[in-house]
Amino acid sequence: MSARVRFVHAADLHLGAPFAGVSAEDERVRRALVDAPYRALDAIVELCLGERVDFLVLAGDVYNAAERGVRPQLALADAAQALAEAGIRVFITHGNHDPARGGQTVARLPDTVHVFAHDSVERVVFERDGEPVCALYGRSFGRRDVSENLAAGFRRDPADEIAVAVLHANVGGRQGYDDYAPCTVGDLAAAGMDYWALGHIHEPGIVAETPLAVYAGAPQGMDPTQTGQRGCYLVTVERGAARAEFVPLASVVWESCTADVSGLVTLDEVEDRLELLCRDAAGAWSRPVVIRVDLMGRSEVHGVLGKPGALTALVERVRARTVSGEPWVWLDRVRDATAAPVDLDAIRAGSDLSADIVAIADELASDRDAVARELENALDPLLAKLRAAGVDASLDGIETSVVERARDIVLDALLAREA
Amino acid sequence: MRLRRIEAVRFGALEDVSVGDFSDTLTVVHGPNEAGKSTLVALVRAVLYGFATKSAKEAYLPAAGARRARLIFEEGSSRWVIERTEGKNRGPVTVRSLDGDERPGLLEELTRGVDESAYGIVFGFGLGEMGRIAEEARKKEGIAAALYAASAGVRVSPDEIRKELDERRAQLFVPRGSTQEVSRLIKALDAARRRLREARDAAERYSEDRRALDALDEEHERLRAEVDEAQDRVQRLTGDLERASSAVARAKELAGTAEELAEDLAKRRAEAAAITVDHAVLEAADAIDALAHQREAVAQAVRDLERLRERARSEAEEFERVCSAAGLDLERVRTIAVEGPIAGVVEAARDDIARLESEVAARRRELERAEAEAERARNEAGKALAPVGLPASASRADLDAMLAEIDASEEAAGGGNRGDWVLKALMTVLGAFIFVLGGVMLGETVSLVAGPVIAALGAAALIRDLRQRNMAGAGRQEVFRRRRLLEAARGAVERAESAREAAERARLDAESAAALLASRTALLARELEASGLPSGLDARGAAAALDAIRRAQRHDAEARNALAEAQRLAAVVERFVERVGSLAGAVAFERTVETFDDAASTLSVLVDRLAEARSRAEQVRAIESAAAQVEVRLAEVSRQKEDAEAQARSVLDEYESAHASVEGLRTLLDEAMRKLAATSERLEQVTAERSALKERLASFASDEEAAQARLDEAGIVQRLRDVVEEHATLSLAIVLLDRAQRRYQEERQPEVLRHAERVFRTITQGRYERVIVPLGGGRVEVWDGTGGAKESARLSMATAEALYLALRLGLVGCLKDVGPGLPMLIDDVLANFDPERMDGAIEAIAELSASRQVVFFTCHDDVAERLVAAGPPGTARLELPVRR
Repeated sequence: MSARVRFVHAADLHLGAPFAGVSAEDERVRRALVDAPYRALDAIVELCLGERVDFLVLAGDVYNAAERGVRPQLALADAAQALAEAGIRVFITHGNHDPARGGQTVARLPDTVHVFAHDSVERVVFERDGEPVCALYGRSFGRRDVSENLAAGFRRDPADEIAVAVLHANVGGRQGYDDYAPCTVGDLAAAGMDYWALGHIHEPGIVAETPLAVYAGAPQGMDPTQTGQRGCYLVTVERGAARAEFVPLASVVWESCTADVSGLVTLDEVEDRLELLCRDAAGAWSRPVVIRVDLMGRSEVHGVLGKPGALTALVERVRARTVSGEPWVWLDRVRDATAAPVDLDAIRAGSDLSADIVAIADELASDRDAVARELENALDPLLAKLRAAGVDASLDGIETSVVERARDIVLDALLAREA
Repeated sequence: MRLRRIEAVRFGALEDVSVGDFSDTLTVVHGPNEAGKSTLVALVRAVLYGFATKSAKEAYLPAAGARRARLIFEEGSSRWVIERTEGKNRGPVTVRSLDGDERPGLLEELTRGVDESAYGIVFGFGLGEMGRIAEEARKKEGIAAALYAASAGVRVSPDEIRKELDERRAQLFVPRGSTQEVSRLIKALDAARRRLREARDAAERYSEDRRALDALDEEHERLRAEVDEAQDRVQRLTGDLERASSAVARAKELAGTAEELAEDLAKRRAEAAAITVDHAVLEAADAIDALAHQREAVAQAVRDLERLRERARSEAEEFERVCSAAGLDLERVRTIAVEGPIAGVVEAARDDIARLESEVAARRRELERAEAEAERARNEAGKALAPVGLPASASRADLDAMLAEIDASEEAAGGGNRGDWVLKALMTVLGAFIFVLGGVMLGETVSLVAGPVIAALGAAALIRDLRQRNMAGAGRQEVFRRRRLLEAARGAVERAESAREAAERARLDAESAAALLASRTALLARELEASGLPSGLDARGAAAALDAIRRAQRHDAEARNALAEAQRLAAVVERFVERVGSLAGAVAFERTVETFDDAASTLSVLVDRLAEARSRAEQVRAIESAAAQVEVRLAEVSRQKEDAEAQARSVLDEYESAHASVEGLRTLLDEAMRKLAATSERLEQVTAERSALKERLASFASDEEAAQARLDEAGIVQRLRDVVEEHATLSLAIVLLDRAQRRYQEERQPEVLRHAERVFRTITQGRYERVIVPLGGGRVEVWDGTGGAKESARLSMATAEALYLALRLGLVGCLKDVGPGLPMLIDDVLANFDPERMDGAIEAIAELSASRQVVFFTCHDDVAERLVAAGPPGTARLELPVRR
């Protein structure tokens, strides 16, 4: 056995997944968002070819859904074919989004692709020039909700000079992700592998150094919460020592930030600030960016921003300039979380209606249940209508900061009339 | 701020009427009916808020002229007039100061928070307006809400804000609405999902295309293999044909080349054979080249030979001439060693004799000069001795004796000297001065006279002494002159004796030098004789003879040397001539060679023959070299031709004999290409179909549409979630406002109502205990002692009027900053009150007037009296005159 392999570790491509939570009217942006997962796949292929790696590992959730779409299947088949022509093999495990049982195969994958079995851990030997080089261990998800500790079933064959494990799992019960195939770092260490190619968590990162266990993360952020750079890892395992180098690939970067507009007075200034944020984001990432901005701070401009249509018009003006740039920036949503430049403490100290408003808001903000009750009463018809329309709408995502915004709305109205 | 006066220039029936001054607290204005009380109340309202339009029911138009009225307000010591005149916009109003600072905003200040309607209901009212406060209570935006807001410290109605928030919320969502944001988004969402469903349905059709693609894939694969095979065959045939054709053509081309080369070789060899080469000359080439190389040097030797012979002759002749001129024998000259000791002797003698001759001449010239000097000195001495009377032969001793005599005579003559004379003169002057000074200082006349006398005596003595000295001087001058002559003569004699001695010494020196010269000349003569030279020669002659011998010997040597060199050169030339002659014989060139010219001529011929022979030999060598190359090339071409023939055979041997030729291969290739073209064409068709189908599948519209629809769906859902949040925010804002309003109703409004309640209780003498305004009820209720509630509309007119008055007094009592300068003008509202309630009402009015100015108009004297009696300090009563 030659004591060195070099491969690309990617995961969670979610081909065919819609971008959640973005409303892009611009055709160019829409096209880029729809194509982004496929472009990430293309980038992975280019990386494999450019680096002349030994093989590619895809650690689950290649497709977004069990019923794989046509385009996702064809895209993967084309990618595998391109790699096959360069003599690069592909090793795939299915994840919770694309379990092995499910979906109709409409595009055949070349023989150079190996999909790991779902009923047990499978060992496959990668050969170079007819000589065994590396053993790959993997196990796919047979169904979506796998609660079994799959990592516990991995055991290295002592004959393996290099052993790589491929698994889609939640290591360490990562919050915000379904707890599928739960396992611990200890489980990974016990298997005796040289490298764990993990999938499921969309943020790239190293889980453990010994053995080196890495979440490749999604090569393309899928929604506004998946901010920052995404990509895959270029892995080298040599004489039992593994090292992984992150390679950014995302064709569109999600960005979220706040802008303190405390010192600003006019809409033009806000517009300039937003445009600057967009330009900075484009400069920082050097690739298309979808950005969300929360405007913060007590400012003179709050009153102007609150006028009907003002913020929308402002955002459209900024978009018109930034979306035509190269790389483009789509200002996805600007939330006005500003407030009037009033001294809340001074108002609290008063005895007028404003003081009552602030005092009641303070009381309400400290009582989440009360807020929930009030919102439940007020929003029940709306939520019922949304549920009837098939929208999974609830009050869960609404933060208590809504009380502050409500308070500011009332204060704005009061102060506007007093002015 | 207090209202001080009301003035009607022209207002209704009032003209030039001025009422005042009003008290700071309560002013009761009593007047009969028709006195203008209601008009005055209306006037105040008109000045504050504007005249009613002329068509209005209560326009208060004067009988003649335009409406004009004013109010005079006072604060401290300042007074202002607010005057309104007839005009546009309900009449322009002016504020001017009577006494104090300008306050242009006074009117707005006074009416702050109180609009005209509120004023009419609360501040300036009569019986006719009493019930309106209850009506207003039913209106959410009316005076009650305004008063609530005002009393809460803001000049904004919370109901307005609530209305705005409701509207904003309603733009987002109303339960059964269809045009709101939520409804529109849900419609858009339905549309997106419909597209998604349609796209999914359309995806079903994908299977058929997929099967067709599979069939095309198989055919494509088969055709691809056939094409590959055909391409391989075409490629192989093309390569073989190309190689065979190329080899055959090359063999043919090489055969032609070999033939040309053979012809060329034969031609060159014949050409070389036709050239004759002089080998004898070539063999002697080195000797010829060597002699040709020496020829110029030998020619130069011939020329030098002649020149040397001539020079030898010339030098010999010169030798003989020099010897003859010097009178010397030739052979003797050759033997004299001119560079031996004699040369030094002659040279030294010549220098010594010349120096001695010069010395002799110099001594002789010195002798002559010394003798001349002695003679001249002797003559000078004679001349000097003559004046003193001595002969020329006198000596220095004679003269010294005479000078001794003169010295002795002068010593004897002696005599004073000049110093004595001067001392005497000074003593005379000093004595005269002392006497005069003493006389002046002491005042002595004798002394003054004695001074001049002494001076005169002194001067006389001096003059006498001077005369005696002049007479003795004349004899001494003669002695001095003789002495000087003697001393001069003594000097001249001394110089003459010295000159004579010098001349004698010069004569002795001259004689000594002449003797030395004669001795040296004799010595030279002896040396010359010993050397073989003529002894009669002087030093210079001997030196000249030596020079001549030296020249002669040099010419003699030159002649001998030239002859020796000439002989050496003659031998060289002779050897050259012999070698040329010998060489000519060796190369069969018959020519007599005896002289250098013969040899030079012969050698030229030989050199030319050698050049010609070399040229021809070179031509032959070049032709032979080229021929050799042609021969090599011929061999190479022959080998290549054989290789090409072998290569062609090796390619063609692969095929059956029927096609084992270039033509046969070409036939096979044509067939293979036709087959490849046909298969490729079919492959292209299949590829195009497959590609089109694959592209259609890859960019499957349903899939793409689904992606777009999903993107739209995601965007709409996000927007709906945003709307939910926005709706939640607005709902909470309304909750906050409602709670704040409720808090007011519970914590602040009751204070207003309690005030009104207290007033009402006072007026009704405790019959009614509570006044309540239920939240959102828009009505006023009173509770009597039994706990029963009565709505205001159900009360008796008197009780209702009491309630309305109580509400007003209660409200105004709570209004601190609202309408801060507005007085309450009440127009006879107690008419329907029974005495008990009237007392209560009066008490309440009097109480209010302590904090807010009240002007109560009444036609009832007793009411006026009772109000004045109950009023706080400063209460005033004014009487309105009856109008005529």
